[in-house]
Amino acid sequence: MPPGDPTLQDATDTELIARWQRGDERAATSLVERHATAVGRYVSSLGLRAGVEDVVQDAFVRAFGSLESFRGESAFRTWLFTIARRLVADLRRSRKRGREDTEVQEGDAATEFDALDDVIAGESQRRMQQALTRLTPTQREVFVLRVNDGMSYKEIADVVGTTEGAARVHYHNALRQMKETLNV
Amino acid sequence: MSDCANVEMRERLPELLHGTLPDALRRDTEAHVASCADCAAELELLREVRQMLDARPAPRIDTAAIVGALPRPSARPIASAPSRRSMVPSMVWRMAATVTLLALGSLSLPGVRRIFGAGTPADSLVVDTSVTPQVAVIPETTGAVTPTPAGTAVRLASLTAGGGVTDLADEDLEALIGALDRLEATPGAEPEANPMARIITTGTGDS
Repeated sequence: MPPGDPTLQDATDTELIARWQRGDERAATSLVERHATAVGRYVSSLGLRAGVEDVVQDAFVRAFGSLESFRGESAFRTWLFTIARRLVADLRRSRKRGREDTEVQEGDAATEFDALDDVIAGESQRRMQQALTRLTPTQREVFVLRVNDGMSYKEIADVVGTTEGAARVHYHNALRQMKETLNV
Repeated sequence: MSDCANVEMRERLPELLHGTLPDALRRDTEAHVASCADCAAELELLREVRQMLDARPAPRIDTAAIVGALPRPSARPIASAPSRRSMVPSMVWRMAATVTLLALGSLSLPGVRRIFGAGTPADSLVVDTSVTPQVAVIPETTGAVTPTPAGTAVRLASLTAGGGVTDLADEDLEALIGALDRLEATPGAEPEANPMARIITTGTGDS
């Protein structure tokens, strides 16, 4: 995308998708630049330590490859997260089958947050990180999607593959656990 | 910290943190937080969590490489100056595919004629049941008997092939090109929205 192109920068995701479908390849660049880092952070938060960029790229390729089936019922970013999550699950399964799995498994409490000791500067943030690691994987994922990515329960439910009600319960359980751990 | 009894206000705190509340709701929620110590403390906790998560090093993502790996758009004509690179190859392939399909169709019909032997030309085949009442028999076939009402004729005169693109009406050609556009080499990847909704009616624990 040419720097400073207000037409693309101000366009909504839906508008950019429509432009790309009409042949405007610059719209794809704009969509990638808008969402790639968030998808990468999300993939990292799932505990993947290697191959994050490959998963992000694959998620975009798959999303763009089937944009005609994208009904727009959810946000484009939510759709990307959903695809990325499935790719991570597939990657873990294949690595596990190949006995090459050095990644964190679904049920383990450890995630990338355990590796943040060196980059978390303050004591307050260190305590916060430790509190997050004490959440169950699902609680942590829902909590991070809600607090860090600002997703609604509906969007979280779509990404995680659960119901809005279950996402709400996970969020409040996580919040209560965080308060207890942090003693606030 | 205790929990505020106003659940509706607590539910808005993440949206307030992200600045995504509509103006009226934002003002209402800010006024509540200003007067509620529990909600103020909870909002501060959420803000600290977000700051800690933002401190994570962002994974290195090469957006140019991702864009380069994306499939090309379907390249329908657009008003806003499409690039020539995206338009020309697709049109060429579409026309080539159309011609190929028509050529294959024209080649297959003579083969069918040879199989069934010499017979009525396909483009003027008329079975008049006034001559062969009750049934119309296709020559030299085994059991291909088609009962027809007396006094009616089964006309296959519209069956033509081998005439090339000029035999197709504009709408037929557009329909064919549209069908070619819809062909996909890879299956769709949009995940089923909320697939667990079918089997989970309530959620009370972690999965």
